[in-house]
Amino acid sequence: MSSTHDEHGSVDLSSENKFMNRLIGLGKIFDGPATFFREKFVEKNRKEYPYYHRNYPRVPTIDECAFGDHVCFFEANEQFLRDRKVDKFITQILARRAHECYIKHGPYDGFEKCRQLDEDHEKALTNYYIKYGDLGSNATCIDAYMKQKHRLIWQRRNPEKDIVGLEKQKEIRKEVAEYQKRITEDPIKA
Amino acid sequence: MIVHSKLINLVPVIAKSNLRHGLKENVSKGLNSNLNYSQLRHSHARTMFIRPGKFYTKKYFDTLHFHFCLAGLPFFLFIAYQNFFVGPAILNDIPEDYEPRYWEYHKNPIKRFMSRYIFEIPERAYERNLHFIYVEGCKQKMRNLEKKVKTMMKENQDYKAWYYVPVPKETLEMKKEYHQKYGSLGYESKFTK
Repeated sequence: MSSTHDEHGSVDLSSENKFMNRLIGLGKIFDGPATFFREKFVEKNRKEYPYYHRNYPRVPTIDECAFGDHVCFFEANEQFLRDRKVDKFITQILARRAHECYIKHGPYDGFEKCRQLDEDHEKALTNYYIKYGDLGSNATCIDAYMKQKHRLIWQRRNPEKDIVGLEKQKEIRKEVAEYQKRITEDPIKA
Repeated sequence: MIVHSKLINLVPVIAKSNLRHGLKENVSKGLNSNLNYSQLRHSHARTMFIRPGKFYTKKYFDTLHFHFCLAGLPFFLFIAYQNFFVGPAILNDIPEDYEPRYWEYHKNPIKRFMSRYIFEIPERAYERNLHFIYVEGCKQKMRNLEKKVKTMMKENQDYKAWYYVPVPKETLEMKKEYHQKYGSLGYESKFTK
């Protein structure tokens, strides 16, 4: 079974399956002339030269900016948008990992074996929603800051309530796992 | 109706007979209407070879060739040269004590060329934008301050700048006498604190 990495452009074509190996060999008939041409004629005439990813330095956030300092606000806003993009990609990567685990094991076994990846994905999504959710696409760092302020005030006023519901979800999953075990052991009784 | 049908009968005859004059027989409708009445001299064996037209196909290939030679071939050669001899860049980590130039953040060599020679430096544009934001913020603050001063003057009426109308003393005295005689209007002119 071919599996994909998180990096861009690297695919692992290896499997124990004979059928898949023969299909991969069939694909190499098209691959052979292209690689031959490239290795002999193209890569000898090229010179390698690098390119880099931009490294953005950390800038003071909105809670460290003075009122009326528009330049500080602008830079803090840019940083906020970059962080939002990065967090979005993180949630997508975790979703991809959990999905691949389910594809590998199937929906029945995956419920047990992919539990950790599922929980990581859920936690990332809840945290993303807590920080950036329901603000809209034209959100600024001030909107997120005010949201955090209101959330902390609410938490101070209601210390016992749990709005996130992660613990409740864990209990539900445990019940379903126990039900599955009971069904496999004795379908008629359960 | 009868006259019309006789004229229709004569049309094929008139169309086919260029060399004949004064045909007196009427061509009948129906099965005999496709008889060929044209004359033949049998002078040569060259006949017109009937075939479909070549205009549109020639024009199509001509325009294709034109656009290919003008734009397709040069761009193809340019891109082939770029892919054979230059190639895209390879991702590396930024080494310490080195700050990459602003064009070294792109992978495609054409994009590198354009960012290096054609487009402007992004760091410079960024700093310039920050400058404009700062200047506009300063102007905003000055405008807000002026507005606030104006409203305070309007409320307190204690400064000889805005809302100051110099009036001679005698008019005020006349106004007082008038008010004492006939009474003032429904409201006082000075109703601010």
